[in-house]
This record gives sequence, structure tokens and C-alpha cells, in this order.
Amino acid sequence: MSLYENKYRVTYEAFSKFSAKISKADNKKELLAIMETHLKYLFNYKYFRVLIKDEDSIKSFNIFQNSICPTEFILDVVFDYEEKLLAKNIPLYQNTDGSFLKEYQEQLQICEGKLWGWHFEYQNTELCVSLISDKNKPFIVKDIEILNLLIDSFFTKYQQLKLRNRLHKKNLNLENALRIIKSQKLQISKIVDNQKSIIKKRTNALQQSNTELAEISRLNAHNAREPLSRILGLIEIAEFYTEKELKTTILKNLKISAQDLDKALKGIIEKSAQAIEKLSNEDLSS
Amino acid sequence: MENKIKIFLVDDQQIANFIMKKVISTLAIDCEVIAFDKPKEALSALSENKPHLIFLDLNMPLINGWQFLEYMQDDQETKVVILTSSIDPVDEKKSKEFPQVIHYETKPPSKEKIKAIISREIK
Repeated sequence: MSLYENKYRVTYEAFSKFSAKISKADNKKELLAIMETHLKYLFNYKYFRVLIKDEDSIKSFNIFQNSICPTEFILDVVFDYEEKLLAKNIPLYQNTDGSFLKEYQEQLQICEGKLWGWHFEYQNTELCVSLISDKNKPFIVKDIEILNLLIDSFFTKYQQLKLRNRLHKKNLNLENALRIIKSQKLQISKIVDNQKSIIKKRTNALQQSNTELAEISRLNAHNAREPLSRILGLIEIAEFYTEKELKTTILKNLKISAQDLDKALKGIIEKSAQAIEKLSNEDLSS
Repeated sequence: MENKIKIFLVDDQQIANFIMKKVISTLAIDCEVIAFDKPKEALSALSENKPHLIFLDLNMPLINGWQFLEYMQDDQETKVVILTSSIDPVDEKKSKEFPQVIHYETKPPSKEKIKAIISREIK
């Protein structure tokens, strides 16, 4: 087995480990941490960068040799060469001193640096993958094969996490909507209960008024009938009296009874007026 | 004197008692009528006079007809005729709860009916 074949056997073993790890990643942070840890076992680089451009955003992450800067997703500038990659989709291979990395350039200690760049296109998403290698950390054309595999499995996982996040957000929204519906339902049932109690209250008030009115009319009838029955009785017995007796006894009692009847009727009229006024006031206030 | 029927009239309205007295006097029945316009006095006179029959009004101040009946519950001899201006069926129904009450009459008193009631008591 040649040295070259041996190297690739080792590399593929490293890749299969990487694949196993990446499949377990639970979020984007973990995904990047795995990328950073395993990248150095797959190929040589001084600096590795992935720019992701999807429907609504451009973000990127950088992996430095010896981890001089934390690896995380950032919304930052698109480098000139990335603009070209996005525009033309032609792979890039050129000399570089890494000056576009500004303050990180010196720490990388690039010696005869080469800038490599590739454009990947997936559904709705474009990826610009670039790396700087140098004389001490050479990246070779044969490594592109493993890089392709790496980007594929990275992006598959990335997309999966993104969809999961979206689903989670939608679920949250749905839960919120459900909560709102529930609270509105509760409010509606409260309103209905309130209406019911108002109706019950008014019905009770009406029933009570009806009872009061019935009682008043019963009392009225009785109060009026009492003197009236005397008048009728006096007329009944009148035939047994002489004319003189009629004047002194019957007429006198008739007069008293008729006055009592008049008093009773006046009382009835007054009470009815009061009852009607009371009822109409209650109607206005409720 | 033994057969002479004794009647109480209990009504707070003097005129009502006056009418009843006259009605009874025209019946040609030998009887003794005592009228009370204060129910309390009638109750006091019950044990001494032992009337055969009481014509009792319902709507009276202080002691109404129902209370009067309650007070004379122990008296099993005396019979009561309610004589009221009330034509309320509830009152008539209630009057049937008292064993002494033999009739419920509404005013004005009719000569024929009063005659029938008293005549029945003589026999």
C-alpha cells in the first residue's frame, strides 16, 4: 500500500468519525464545534471559511488554524473574491498574503499562501467555501474530493437544523394562537355567563313586580268590596223599615258606607299610580 | 228558653252587624243575637254564653278571623259560619281546614241562605 493510499484510508476513517459526530449535533453551535474539531484531520489549512447565502440572509463562519478566533456564525462582510464566486461560480485558486484577514493575518504566519475557493449551489441556498493553505500546510487537488463530502454533510445537517428551528417557531406560534383562542373562548363564556345572570336578575325582578302587583290588586278588590257589601246589605234590608226609619238609620249608614267605598277607591288609585311609577323607575335604572 | 238558639256576630264593622241583626230578625226564628265589633270581647264571652253559632268576619284589625278560629280550637260545641266580603277562593279553601266552620258565605248576607243555615242548626 502506497503512502498516498494510506493517507486516504486514514482520512476516510476521520471522515466517517466526523459524519457520526455531525449526525448527533443538536444545534448550530454544536455543529460548528464539530466542524472545528474534525476539520484538521481531513485536510490541511491555515484558514477555512464558509459563507452561506439563503433567501433572507448572508452569514458565515471562520475556522482558524490553532483556533485563534472562536468559531461562530456571524453576519459580516462578503469578501471581494466571494462576490466573484457568487457572480461567476468559477472555482478559485490564487496566491494570497491573507491581508484581507486584517488583524488575524499576522498570527496565521502565512508562507507562500494559496487561496482556494469553491461555489456550491443547493436549493435556495448558495455556499462559498474558501480556504488558505501555504507551504507548511499544503492543500492539494486530491483533497477537494473530501472537501465536497464535508460540505455536503455539513449542509445537510445545517438545513435539517434550520428546518427544525422553523418548525419549532411555527409550533410556538401555533401554541400562542391556541392560547389566545382559549383565552378568548374564556372571555366569551364569561360574557355569556354575565348575560345569563343579567337576564336571570331581570326575570326575577319582573316576577317579583308581578307578584307585588297581583297582591296589590287582590288587596284593592277586597278593600273596595267590603264597604260595597255593606251598601248592598243595607239596600236588602231597607224594605223592612218605615220611611222615617229609612231616613234616620238606613240613609245614615248608606252615607258612611258610600264614603268608605270612596276612600277605598281613592286609595286604590293612589297605590296603582305609585306602583306604576316605581316599575317605570326600575326600568330606567336597570 | 232551652230551644232558643244563641248567635254571635263578630265583625269590626258596626254597620255589618246592624245589617245581620236585621236580616236575622226578619226570619221569624226565636233566637238570641249578640253582636261584637271587637273580636277579643267575643272570645271572652264564649265560655259564659256558649253560643250555638258564630257569624265570623275574616278581615279585622288586631285579631282577624283566622286568629279567632285558632283561639277557639278547644271549643267543639260552637259552629262557625264565615261571613266575609272576600270572594278570594284561597280564603274559602283555607276555611275548610277548621272543623268548626260549617259554611263560607260572602257579603252581602242573603236572607234565604242565612235562614237555611240557622234552621238547620235548630233541628
